[in-house]
Amino acid sequence: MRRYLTCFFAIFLLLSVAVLFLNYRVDPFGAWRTHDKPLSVFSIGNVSYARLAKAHWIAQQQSDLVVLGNSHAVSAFQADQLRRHLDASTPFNLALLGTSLSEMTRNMRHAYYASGARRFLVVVDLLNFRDHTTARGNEFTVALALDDSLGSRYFAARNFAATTYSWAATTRSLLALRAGYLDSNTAEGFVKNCKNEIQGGPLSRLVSSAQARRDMFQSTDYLGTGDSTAWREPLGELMAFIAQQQLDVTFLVPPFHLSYYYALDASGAWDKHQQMLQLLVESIVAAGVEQHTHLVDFTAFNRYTGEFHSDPRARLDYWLDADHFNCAMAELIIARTAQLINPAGQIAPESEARLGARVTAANLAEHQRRLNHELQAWKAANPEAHAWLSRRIQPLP
Amino acid sequence: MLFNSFEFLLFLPLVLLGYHGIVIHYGNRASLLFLACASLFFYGWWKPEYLWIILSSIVFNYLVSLLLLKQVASGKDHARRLLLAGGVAGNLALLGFYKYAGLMVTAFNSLSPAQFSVPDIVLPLAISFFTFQQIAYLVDISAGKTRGGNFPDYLVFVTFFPQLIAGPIVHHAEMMPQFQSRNRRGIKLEDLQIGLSLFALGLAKKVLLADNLAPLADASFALADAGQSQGSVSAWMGAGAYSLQIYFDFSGYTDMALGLGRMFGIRLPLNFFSPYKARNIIDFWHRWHMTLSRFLRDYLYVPLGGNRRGRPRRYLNLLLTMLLGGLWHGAAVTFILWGGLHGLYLCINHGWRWLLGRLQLSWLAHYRSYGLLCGLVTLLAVVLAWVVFRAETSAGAWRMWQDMFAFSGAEDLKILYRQRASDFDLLLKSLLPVHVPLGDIWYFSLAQDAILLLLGGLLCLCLPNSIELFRHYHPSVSAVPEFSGSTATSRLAWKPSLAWAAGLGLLFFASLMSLARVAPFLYFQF
Repeated sequence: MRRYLTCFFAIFLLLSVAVLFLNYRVDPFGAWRTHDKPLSVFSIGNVSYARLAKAHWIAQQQSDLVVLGNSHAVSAFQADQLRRHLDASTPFNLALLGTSLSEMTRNMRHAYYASGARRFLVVVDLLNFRDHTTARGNEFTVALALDDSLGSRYFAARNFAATTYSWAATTRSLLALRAGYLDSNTAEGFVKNCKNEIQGGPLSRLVSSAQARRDMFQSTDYLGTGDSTAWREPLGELMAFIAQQQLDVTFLVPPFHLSYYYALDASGAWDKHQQMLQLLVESIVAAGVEQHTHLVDFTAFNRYTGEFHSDPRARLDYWLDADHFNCAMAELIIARTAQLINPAGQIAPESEARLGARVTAANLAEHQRRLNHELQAWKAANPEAHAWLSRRIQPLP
Repeated sequence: MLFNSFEFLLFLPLVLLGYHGIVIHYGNRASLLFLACASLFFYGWWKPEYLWIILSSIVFNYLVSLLLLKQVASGKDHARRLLLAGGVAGNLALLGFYKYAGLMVTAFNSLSPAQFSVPDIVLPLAISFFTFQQIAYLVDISAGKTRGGNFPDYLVFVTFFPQLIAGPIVHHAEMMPQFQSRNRRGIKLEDLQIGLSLFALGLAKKVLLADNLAPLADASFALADAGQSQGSVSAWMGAGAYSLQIYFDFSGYTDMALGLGRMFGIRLPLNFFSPYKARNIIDFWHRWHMTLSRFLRDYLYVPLGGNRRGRPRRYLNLLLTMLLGGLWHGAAVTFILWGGLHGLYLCINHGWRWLLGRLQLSWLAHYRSYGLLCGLVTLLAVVLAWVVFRAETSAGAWRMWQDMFAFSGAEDLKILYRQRASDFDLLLKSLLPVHVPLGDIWYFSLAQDAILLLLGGLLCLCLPNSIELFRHYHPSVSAVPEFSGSTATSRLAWKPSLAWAAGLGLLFFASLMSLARVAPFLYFQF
């Protein structure tokens, strides 16, 4: 009897210690901070752990500029871009996959209280925020936010247990070991390779054939279910916090590939997209934060959003897929944002490619009229593609 | 608190130690009180503010049971019946308010010009289970099948945490003698090792099998609910994945509950016995959620008249019982349809038996091939019914059925697997000698799912179940159904050997590594 239980627990404890040692040593999510360069690139693929590691990590340092948002910001914005273009000395990318406005507000509060951040770059995905559902993993940041109560310590302990004892952490640690990550000479190269793999590796072609287009638009969650009713309350909370703390916030509406805009139009969601933009502007005005809050809309029909390659194996210069831009595009976005929001508050002249426009209550109608006109022009120039999409896409409810 | 959580793995040893110490030093009564408090802590972990609901329900039912006992003793039949009706109505009112108010208001709004706002009520955890358990208690008291007990005993009977959240739905008469006969020696090593082994096995079923099948089922049903076509192969894989997910989820939960009970020296009733090996639907319901079937039979089907009032009435009773059984699972049209479908299956099954008897073809049942064919048809019927059970809407279920029987190819499989690259995929990709583009690693997910489906099918159709494995150690208070006695089952039977200890220790650790992903049991929502 005793031998049975002893053997059972001995195996269990032996493996527990081995995994603890491995994951502590490699620290694949940067949760233990045993390396200067945590493999944050891995956290891209894992929602819960990124939440834990990022929320914990930002609390350990002072940050003067924090990026909030969802997958667009996670996969593209780099700290050095923010340093170069927006004069940030200690920027931090706190964007999280599949986030919601409510979670973003909590993270803004967390960054403000725990890290002293007063400048924020908020990437607003007008149709894909998960406020209509419960975003999984939100508890991970709630736990670490704001206070040092017993409750938050409990959640922190629980989350560290989850980070350490998990297949996700262990697999990543093994991957890192296999790539020789613990050898400092190869660490830099390893991270670089991972980034190349994720951000620049051979991708499925985007709009080079009907087949490719069909694949693109059959993703189940491809078109978001933007709902202004669900948005109104969390947006109000976000704006109230910005107003209360007098934060310097820039909202960015990210660009999408042209095919995404086609899909929006063909499914009847383009108007909704525009309504959400309007709601955002109205919320800024209603909260009275126009003086220190900017909105830059990168929705556009230009050579960047319309990038096209006939070779299906070709890497795209600006896109990871139809709704995620890459680091090169992020570089343009940050540079353009810096240009549009100069310290004097002047609106810089728009570039030839019409990459991004600052939107205010005063120019919203004109901005939307121009976008609608450009959409119609692109449709007229590409009737076949649009007709194909119209047949293919299910109307949104 | 979930059994499959880090918190529970801390909670359990503390409660075991506390219980053991209190039994030895303060005796059985104090230990039962401790167990009841620990169980209420376990329950309140999710939402402490809902503790008052379960406590009010317990106090209400205990008081009604005291009054009932008085009426039984005095032989006042009319008063006893009135009191019982009041007690049952009180329980149903509580359940109806929390579980069905939304459905009732929606139904009323659709029929009437007056429009009421649909209440947004959060369903208290386990309300269906503890309500049914207490209804059964009142009926048993009224029928003189049990004698009742003091309040602490009743408290632990209702709240005993291994069975509180998702059953088994226990009878007072099968539990209280066990609680009351505890000796002062505390927890026995034999009980601990058997309980721990059952718990480890159940946890592995839940987190290694059910939770890994869930993404495939979720993706497939999400497509169907969105009205998107996905091809027959995807649809069958999705339906199969859900059928196995719910099997291992519930089977895992039941093993864990039995194991936890056993650690405290308590044997719970059987609740799950290889239902997919059933040869017909009647047999299926003797194997799936057995304590719910028992409740529905004893407290609904039989009072309705059962099979005592002729064949047409019997079929009607079956249909009604299963419709209500479906409704018990949730306030949704899909659950009612699922119940109705199973009611229909049962009617067909009984009708078929009657027809075979009339045609003097009952001898067919002795043929193995006939049995296999019946088993296959039963499994198919069950899987088709799970589609309705799982789909968010009846339209989604219909879409799924359409896809399943469209007999189209596998070319649309990629739809299911978009953006589903897992850690396992990345690891495989890094180990392969050839370069596989990221865009193509969904093949790994496909292979992983195919392996899981095959493994799951093999485990639930070809191998002995946990009860059979542990049958020599009496894992349940119920009698184990007829044992197959096959050599394979005997050879695989659990014994306290080092090989089993090492295997289960490994499995337990593998399960621990999956606890980071919190996935409640499917039956927690009912």
